[in-house]
Amino acid sequence: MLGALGRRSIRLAGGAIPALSTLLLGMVGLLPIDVGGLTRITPLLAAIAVHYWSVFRPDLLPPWAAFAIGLMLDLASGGLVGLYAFVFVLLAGYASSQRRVLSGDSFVTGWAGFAVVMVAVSLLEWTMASLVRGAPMPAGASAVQSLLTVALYPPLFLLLGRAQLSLLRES
Amino acid sequence: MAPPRGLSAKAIGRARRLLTGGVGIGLLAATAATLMVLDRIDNAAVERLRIEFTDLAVPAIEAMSQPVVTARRVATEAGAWVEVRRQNARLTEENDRLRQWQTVARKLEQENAALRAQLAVRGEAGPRFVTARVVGDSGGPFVRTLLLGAGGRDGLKAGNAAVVGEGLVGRLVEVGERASRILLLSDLNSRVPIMLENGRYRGILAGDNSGQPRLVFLASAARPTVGERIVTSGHDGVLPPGLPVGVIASLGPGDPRVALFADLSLLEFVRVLQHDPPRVGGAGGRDGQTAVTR
Repeated sequence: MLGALGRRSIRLAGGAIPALSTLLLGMVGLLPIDVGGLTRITPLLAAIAVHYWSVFRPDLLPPWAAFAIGLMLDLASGGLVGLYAFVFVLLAGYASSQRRVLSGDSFVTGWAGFAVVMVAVSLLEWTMASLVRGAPMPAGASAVQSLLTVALYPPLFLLLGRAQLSLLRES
Repeated sequence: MAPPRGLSAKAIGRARRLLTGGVGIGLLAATAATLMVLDRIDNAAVERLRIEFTDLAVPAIEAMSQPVVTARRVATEAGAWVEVRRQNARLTEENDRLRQWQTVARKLEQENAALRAQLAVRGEAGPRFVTARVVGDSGGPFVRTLLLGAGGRDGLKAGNAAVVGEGLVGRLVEVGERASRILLLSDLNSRVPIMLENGRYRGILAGDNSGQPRLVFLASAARPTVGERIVTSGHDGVLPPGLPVGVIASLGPGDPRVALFADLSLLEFVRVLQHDPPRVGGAGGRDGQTAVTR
């Protein structure tokens, strides 16, 4: 039998699943994976996780956690420090405020909602990077990243859904 | 007098709502924007933070990349088995060709040594190198960098050239204790002084995030031709001269484009040349922990 301390530890560990899964997906994007020459542009998997948890469990992935994860990715990826932190904070804020619409009546409407959000994320990422650099960044790579991310939404939705179910069982 | 319990809980709740609501998001976004500006102006603290964090994160990234490396190796092995006959024929032919080049190279080496001895040439010690594994990739749409699992403790320094068998890959821009970052030749911020191998005309190879960097500031007397080899000029005092870079792929419209010798998408190991640039005077120089300006 688990004591009160054991139950509390399990609850705490379960509560960390959203942040850990987001961080893990962010790190997967940093791995030197070569898929048919697309190696230089990897999908922004962490954005799927930030979106998912902000829509379904915003209490477990508050904006400051999205900020911290974005900052870690900025530091590890060698990109502009603060860019993903900025994008993820706004993504988390927007997704949690529009959770009724974005959770969708069906999976397809939820997916369409994410596609719209991802276009906005790419535009925001491109605008901020261009503003800070003082010259427009090449936009093609950003568009490809956005398309790849939207395409990978369904399998990750399933995966994160499983994680959420295990979370419910533990609590 | 302590405030009533209800009031304090209400205040905490309100503060929490404020922080997770609009005000909190605004504050966090403003912090992130400030960090971006600080990074853009090469703030030393942000640079230090990045190096320290990369050092901390590299063991985790390295561990996660192991299955990827294994899968890639298995795929390469399988591909090699399928192509073994064709590859054998190609290698035999290449070997014959290289034997002829070896004879030429030996003759030139002797001639070179004799001429150097006559002229008493100084200041060009043979390169030392460290082979390091690529453990991470930037992956983002605006950056072309690679993370190496070797750093200052292995003798690497910011500015060192990273090469593979075929040619130059980039140079180290950040060096921590156990990890370092290569700015690839294709990155938007990469600028490498080069020269045309034939005419020895100088220019700058400028990355623009595409697969073929541009050749800019080429001497006006230069008449580059498609297929002409490009090597490093060493005029930046950082990279050693004569490293093969690529060939001119096209002349225009716009600036000439260079097809790099190294395939930047298939890098598993790179060699980092520990080249000590010639210095005037004894003092100065960067230590292994600093980053060069991008």
